[in-house]
Amino acid sequence: MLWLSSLFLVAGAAICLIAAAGVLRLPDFFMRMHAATEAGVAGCGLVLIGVGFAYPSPDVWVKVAIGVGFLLVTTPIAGHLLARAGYVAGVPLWSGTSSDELAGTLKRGSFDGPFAQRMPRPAGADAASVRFRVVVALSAGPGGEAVAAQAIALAKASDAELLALAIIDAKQIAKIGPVPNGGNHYAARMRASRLEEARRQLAASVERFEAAASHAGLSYALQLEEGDPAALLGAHLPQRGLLLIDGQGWFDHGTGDGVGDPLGHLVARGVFPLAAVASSPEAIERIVFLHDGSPHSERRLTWFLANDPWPEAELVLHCEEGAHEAEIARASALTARRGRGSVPAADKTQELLAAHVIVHGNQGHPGWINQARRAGGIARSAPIVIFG
Amino acid sequence: MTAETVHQASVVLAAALVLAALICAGMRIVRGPGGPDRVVALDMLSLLGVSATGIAVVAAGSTAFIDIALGVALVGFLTTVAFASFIERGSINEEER
Repeated sequence: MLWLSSLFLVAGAAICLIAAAGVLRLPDFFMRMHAATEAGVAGCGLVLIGVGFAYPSPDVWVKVAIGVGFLLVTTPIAGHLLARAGYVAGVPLWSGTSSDELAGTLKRGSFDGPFAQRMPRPAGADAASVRFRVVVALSAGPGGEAVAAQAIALAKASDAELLALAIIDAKQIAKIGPVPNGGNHYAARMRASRLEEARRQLAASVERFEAAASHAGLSYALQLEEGDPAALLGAHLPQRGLLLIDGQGWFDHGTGDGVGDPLGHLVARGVFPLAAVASSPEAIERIVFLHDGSPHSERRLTWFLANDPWPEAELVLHCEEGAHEAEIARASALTARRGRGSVPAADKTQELLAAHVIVHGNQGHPGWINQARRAGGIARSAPIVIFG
Repeated sequence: MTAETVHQASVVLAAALVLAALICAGMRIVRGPGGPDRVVALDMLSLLGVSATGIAVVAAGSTAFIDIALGVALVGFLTTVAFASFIERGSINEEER
């Protein structure tokens, strides 16, 4: 008995030490948590069993059993709670983390504070070293073909990574309006059939996209998701590159009522910069950048120039009335450095109508979009509209 | 070499190992670098406290200490749960969300 007791005590203490070394040495919060919970419970359990062997009597064994059982039940719960809390609070992941399965599922806050800055930044945070990335949200809406074609053309021209997201907004599809008394059975059947139809439509557009991409000789990644499109798209916003969506269709793929203005809805949910494609022009020759003189506009202009998805096209800078001279001068200087920039012509309407791409440099908030819509829809008539 | 002497030596060895583990966890508490990391280290400390109490039972020869180990485990669990919800909400006050 004493031999067994010695063995268990030393083994338990050794596991405790290994766990503590893990807590001290592992690089990020989640790994440390895993070391603390997993090895901690084994170490403690073995030490308690060792105590049981040292004083083998029924009452000691009962207490030891209670202790070990309690540890086995509570430690996983505590570990799970800690991991969830850390993730929700936005504790940074280790820079070598290869996949984040919870992205888009759990809301992740920003972990601010003095310690956040001291954590090593994830590898590739430096904009220049990140490869250009085209993310396209496939849809079966009216602009579905155009957005896929545009994404493939863009990825081919800039030799970019191509990621296709096939998203189904199951919640939106399940909204079928008021149900009369006794209609619940049929409502459930209707929901199911609409979801099935949406899946079929999406599968068809995925097939079309795959055919087009392999025809163009491109390699691509494809991801199928069901859930809130705003959260899912927000999780996939590329650091460097463009996120393209269908400008008219929603992620219910024509089966439900969808959302009238996908671009406005997503921008209001904080998913921007975002490019909405309505049709796919042969060649992009003219880009109009709408500058409202705010610092946000300037940041967006810098972002656009750093990315520059269509380097061959002419970039026209258009400043809103009321912008300060100094800001306009700064923006003009930025545009001039690009080479193919130009000063705006007198007739704003003609220019906007002739543009293939319109970039809104304004802060993306719904009030502003409503204002733009009131302005006559001209600013949204271009084949491609980018909101920043 | 009898079982008695080996057992006594093993108790000393186990105590030394747990002490080293306590120092490691303590260093993580000092280093941080954030609240959540310190809570993990605190969780580890309470688990080590259970181990240390278990070893104290054998060293002191009094089985009454086992109850203390259970108490430490219980308090450690509750502490971790409370801290986890504190981290998740970002503040102690429910209304301040």
